[in-house]
Amino acid sequence: MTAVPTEWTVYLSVVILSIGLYGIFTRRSMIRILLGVELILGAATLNFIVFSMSVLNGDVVGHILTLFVIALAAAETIIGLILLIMLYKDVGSIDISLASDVKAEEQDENKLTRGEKEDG
Amino acid sequence: MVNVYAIDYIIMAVLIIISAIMALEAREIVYAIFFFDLFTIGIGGMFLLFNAGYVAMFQLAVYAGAVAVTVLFAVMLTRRTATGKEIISFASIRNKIASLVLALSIAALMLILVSRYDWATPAGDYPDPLGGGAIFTSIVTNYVVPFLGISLILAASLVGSVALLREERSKKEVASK
Repeated sequence: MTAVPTEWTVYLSVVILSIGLYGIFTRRSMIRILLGVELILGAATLNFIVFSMSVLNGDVVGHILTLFVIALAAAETIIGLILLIMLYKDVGSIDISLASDVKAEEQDENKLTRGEKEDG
Repeated sequence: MVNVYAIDYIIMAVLIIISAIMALEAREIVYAIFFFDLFTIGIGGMFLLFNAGYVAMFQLAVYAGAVAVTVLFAVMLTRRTATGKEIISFASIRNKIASLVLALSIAALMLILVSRYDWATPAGDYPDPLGGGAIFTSIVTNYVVPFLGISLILAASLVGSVALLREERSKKEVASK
């Protein structure tokens, strides 16, 4: 017998999920929050694979879903990092609590239009 | 008889949990990303243990390779070396305790639910899913629409990220004029 009990893996992914949730709730650095999201996605893929191999007895549907999740995670990481770079350019920090200050950009635009008027 | 497979599994699980915690707790963000890389390699090892070699290959190539390097690049671009300003900002103690209670209660609820269900475990080895052939045949027959959807999402996210950065630059050019 080489198979481990299925519930071990489910317990493991619950633990990873709660670690990721804790990271998302407590961190203010945007990179840490992204890493927390990736941890949760890793827990989900682990579940897909183990259910595919044990509960579905070798059906490849879990593998296909895992490949889709990996592709989606790559897309999500790209968008997240671009938003991170934009936030850094805007406010000079990657602290997510500063991102709620949406007035900053409006003020910039007002300043810009005023400046154009003064020039004209 | 000692179940070598189970020992392997436990070592991998401990590695995964420790590196997941360290990815969030390490003081230096670069170390955190290396621990995250270790975490993804551990998940890939789990996939190998479950006879899912092709998914493990993708996991290592995309997660441990591409995603980790992309995050490292983002850190490089947003790091302040001149002023030495710390970019890790931790939450207050009160926030931490509340989050810990919330995460632990969610975990406890899910663990209780999981323990009450009778999970099927194969009696012998994990079945071999006919290598990668079955996966790719299935993707281009039964799952072709989701596959196209994923491709479109990836393309859209790439184009969208380029457009976002481009817009930023053009705005700056207007400002400089």
